[in-house]
Amino acid sequence: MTARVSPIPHAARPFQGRRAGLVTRTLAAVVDLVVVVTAFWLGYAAVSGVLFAMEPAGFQFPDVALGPWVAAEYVLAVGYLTLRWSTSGRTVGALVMGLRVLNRNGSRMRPVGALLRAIFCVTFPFGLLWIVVSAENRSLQDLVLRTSVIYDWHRRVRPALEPAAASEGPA
Amino acid sequence: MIAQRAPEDDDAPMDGQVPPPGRSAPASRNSASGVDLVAGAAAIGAEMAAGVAGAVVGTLEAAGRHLGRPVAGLARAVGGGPVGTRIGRTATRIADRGRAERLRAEADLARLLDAIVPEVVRAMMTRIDLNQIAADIDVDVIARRIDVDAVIARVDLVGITEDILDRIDLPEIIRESAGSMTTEAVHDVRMTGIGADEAVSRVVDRLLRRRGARRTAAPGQQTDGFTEAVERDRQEDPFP
Repeated sequence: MTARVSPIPHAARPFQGRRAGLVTRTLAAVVDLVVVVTAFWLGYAAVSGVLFAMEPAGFQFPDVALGPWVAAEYVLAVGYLTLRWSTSGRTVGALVMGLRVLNRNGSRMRPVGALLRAIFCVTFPFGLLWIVVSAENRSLQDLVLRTSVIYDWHRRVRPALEPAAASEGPA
Repeated sequence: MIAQRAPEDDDAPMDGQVPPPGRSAPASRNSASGVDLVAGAAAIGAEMAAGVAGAVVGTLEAAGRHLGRPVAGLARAVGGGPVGTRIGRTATRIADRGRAERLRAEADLARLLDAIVPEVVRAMMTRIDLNQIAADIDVDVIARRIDVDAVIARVDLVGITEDILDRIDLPEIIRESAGSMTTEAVHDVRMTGIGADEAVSRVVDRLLRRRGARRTAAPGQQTDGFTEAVERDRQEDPFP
């Protein structure tokens, strides 16, 4: 038997495993937006570098029209969210804010579910505002797909407890 | 040395033990043997007397059949059944009286011991230097006889360690002493976010006249202590 000490500060422990509120999730979304945009421009810079290496004399930065730019950002964001939610359950923004996305069973999401949620979130980000009026801190996406975004400061995904073992909050 | 007790003495009290107040000591077979012997002898004598008297009566009745009814009636009046029965009753009364006297004596002795023994012990205690006795005890000898491993085996060291580490908030101490600025900043941002979430929820719930805390427990998650934390936040809310 090994003694285990929680690395979570005392003040934050009671909130672990609870659905997060609007402010934390909005901040996480902003960080993810920055990540996606940054990733896009890093990709743009990489492509430009390749083009410059291939033809330095006639090099010009590639034109990016609004439509393709939006489409590329959309695909990039959906792919990024799907990948992160189906692997660790947390994006970079969620990592910074100590959040994790779980499915209806309290476990890590499957790729298909993560893809649907990513499409829904990127298409209609304002669904996040439903958290404010929801009595269960659920966004519109959470309501439809029955997912949860919880405070989880632990490094790894903890196995979901049996339904009887998980304590339900006060009504 | 502890004296061996005979199996037949199981009912007898241990030497030196005083029966509790209000209760007489159980009858010791040894202490009651003399009295009971007298009582038993009286009872046996009565039985023998009754037997002898019966035999005499039988003989006289047989003779009476030959000598005639007057002689037989005389024999029955002198040495017959009524006389033997009278002797037996007398012996029984003597034995009962002897038993009653013995029980009364035992009760008197118990009351006497109840009164005397506490006073004697109290007087002894005032004359004994317990500190000196304790100083004379070689604790090392006693300690050497203690099986420390067995004692430790019965102690939940892991549980105690967890409890201690949990109470002193070791992670926070480690963070404060060796934690990076980044980690500290991240924790601050997260805690600020949680506080802001709670504040927004409180305001909205108040506007919506919603009673009770939000049901934020996610499925499959252990969420102990949340109710207490929410209650603490409410008490510390500067705008109740």
